[in-house]
Amino acid sequence: MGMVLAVLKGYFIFSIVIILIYAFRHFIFAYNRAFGRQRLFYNDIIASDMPTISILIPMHNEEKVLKFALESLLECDYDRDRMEIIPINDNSKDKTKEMLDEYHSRYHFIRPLHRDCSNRGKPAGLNDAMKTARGEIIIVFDADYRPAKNMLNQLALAFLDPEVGAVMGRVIPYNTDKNLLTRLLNLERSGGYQADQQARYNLRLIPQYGGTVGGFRKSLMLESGGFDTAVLAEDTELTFRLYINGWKVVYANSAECYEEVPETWAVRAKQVRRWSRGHNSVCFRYIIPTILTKNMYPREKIDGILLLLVYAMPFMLALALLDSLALFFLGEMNVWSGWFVLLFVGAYNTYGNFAPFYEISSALIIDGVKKDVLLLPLLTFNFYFYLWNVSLGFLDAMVDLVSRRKVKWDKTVRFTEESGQVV
Amino acid sequence: MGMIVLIFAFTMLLFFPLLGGYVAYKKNNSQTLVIKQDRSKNPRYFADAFIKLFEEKWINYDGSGKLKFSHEESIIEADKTALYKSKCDSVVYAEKIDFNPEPTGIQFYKEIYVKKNAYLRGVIQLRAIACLSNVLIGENTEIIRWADAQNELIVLDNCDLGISTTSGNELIIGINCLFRRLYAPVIYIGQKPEQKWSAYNTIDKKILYLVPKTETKRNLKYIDKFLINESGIAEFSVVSKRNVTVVENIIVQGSIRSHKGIRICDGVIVCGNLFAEGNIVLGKNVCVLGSIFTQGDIIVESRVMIGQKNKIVSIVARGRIEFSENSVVYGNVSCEGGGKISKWLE
Repeated sequence: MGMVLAVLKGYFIFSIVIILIYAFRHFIFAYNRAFGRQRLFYNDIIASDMPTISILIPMHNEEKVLKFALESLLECDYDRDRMEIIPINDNSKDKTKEMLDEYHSRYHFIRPLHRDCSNRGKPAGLNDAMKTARGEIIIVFDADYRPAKNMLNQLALAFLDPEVGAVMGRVIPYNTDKNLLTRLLNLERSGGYQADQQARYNLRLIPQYGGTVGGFRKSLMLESGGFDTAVLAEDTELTFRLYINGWKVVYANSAECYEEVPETWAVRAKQVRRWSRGHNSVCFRYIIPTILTKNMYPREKIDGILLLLVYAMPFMLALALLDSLALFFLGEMNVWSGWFVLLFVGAYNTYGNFAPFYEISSALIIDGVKKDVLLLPLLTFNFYFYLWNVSLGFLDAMVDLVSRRKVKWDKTVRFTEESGQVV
Repeated sequence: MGMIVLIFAFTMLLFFPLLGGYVAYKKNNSQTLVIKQDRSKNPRYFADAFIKLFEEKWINYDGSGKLKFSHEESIIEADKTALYKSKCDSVVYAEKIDFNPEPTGIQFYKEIYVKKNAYLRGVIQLRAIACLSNVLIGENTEIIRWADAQNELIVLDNCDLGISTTSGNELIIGINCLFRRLYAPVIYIGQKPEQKWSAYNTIDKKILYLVPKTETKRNLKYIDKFLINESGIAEFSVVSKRNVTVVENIIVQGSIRSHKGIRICDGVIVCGNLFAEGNIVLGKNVCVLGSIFTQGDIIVESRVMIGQKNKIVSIVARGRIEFSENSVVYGNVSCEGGGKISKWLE
């Protein structure tokens, strides 16, 4: 019994320490974004010698939205001799193919790739498209995104820096007025990009490539075998592959693009579970290489490890909650004595998602939507929601690891039939 | 009773924030952040936007001496004005004549719009000027906001150029001038209109056609004679955690990226771009054919060429940029910490 209690107490202390580390990290990011020196992005550069780019747009049954993405891209001010657009028609059953062929007949630089095979999914589609792409830089958008006029230019500028392997822009939800969930997701996006990603860029840590509204060097991907189709979080995988090999990811806060966020809790649950599963499988694969690589600074390694463990945290926290209940009913919750109380109070002050509150508040103030700060307490719902769904994703990843089962790609359900009318 | 109060207080404290959040959710509508979809980078934006606005308003001008922009402004038509007050707080419009205000010592507190040439000798201060032809800004002039000329813009010594100074053709700036942003297809820095210098006339033109190499060497500290081929060319790019120094008279056929600073010694030619977290120092007679970007400061010694004819490059610093006289930039100069052009002292 003594051994069991020791393990329970040990895990309890361990989880509190981990929570405090994450809380400190969030506080540092929020402080840096609000008061720290902001690192300059490359968008003050004006250059006539820009790299050639290939814009890849994975599509699956996108007849209702694809024209908005393509028309927006046609409005972009990037030199057309240096760009091509490759919509990847991935086994669509609607009129996506016909519509893309019609665009191709009007614009020679729109070159659709029609895939009709069993190996569907975003990573497989990107791999096929990269083989035919002519650009040095691959820029990826989702089919319902509407890039602003200068976005391609902003993203491509980063690659003038010979060390940049990938660049990530900022996504902003446009369907925020639908319901409570979309309002809360708007808060999360704001904190995640305006504060978290920008602070990581400022502090020269690891801004994360997000899989869309971003770009990467084609040669790096092809040399390293393209995207791994067995990984659901191909964006996280790319981020760590680049850092471990001595490349950097940069964040372009001013390269903004609208996106749609899930409008039902069921779809969000599925999305989060898939992200968690993918992210954790990347964590299992890259945590040791991240520690061992000589191409990363210690500060990057620490941030990288914490980033890799982000989707394992809710599971660890859920165990810690069960652990604390067990200790309580065993009458061993004697934490109100000595130095222990500091940990206890600290953990409760940063309980779960309270820590990112610093970042979300800073971001909302910077974005000029101060009233939304009042919604922060409602994120408590999200905390328990994520605790459950992210933990399930973590368990999925564990099973994947042990059983080596094959993962299946699922597209997130779209809610807006014609996104162009919404924005 | 005490316990009931305690439970009530606990419950209230627990749910009060949620209640507040719910009220805020019901009361306030969502605000989708606005992305300016048609935003495009235009280094001459100030002048272009002002000219567009002015022309729109001028169509309906009734001769009253007033014109309504965001608020009502008084207008002086330079074509009908011989002398100006020493403190002029009207928008000035010169349509058919060269603008050459007298007497000396005038301060223009509002924008000036000139369709012919503008000669601003003896003006102490002006807020902004947009000109469709050539502009000459005399010595010791302070520009508060911006200056733009469609053709040639000449700035004599000892001027403060405000936030932005741009030209559609050529910019010539004297010594002891302060600036924040400069843009023109060619900018002669620390020079005079009668004796313009550019290394473009003397450089071996073959170098201009060298394609920067993407093969990368990592963590070099020096690029020296041991790393070059028989033509004196280092055929690689460099990414380094250390300070990088390129020793004299070497050609680097690539870009350089340092996590610290970069020192380019005299006579070096860099075919690619320079990126650094620390300071970048360019020695005498250096040519950088690509862009330069740093989170620190940039110090440029004498007779330096950045960019090349008919191409636009940028020199951008998070900190300061200090030029010495007789340099040339093809494109864009921008610094957050302020820029200065000084006399070259050996």
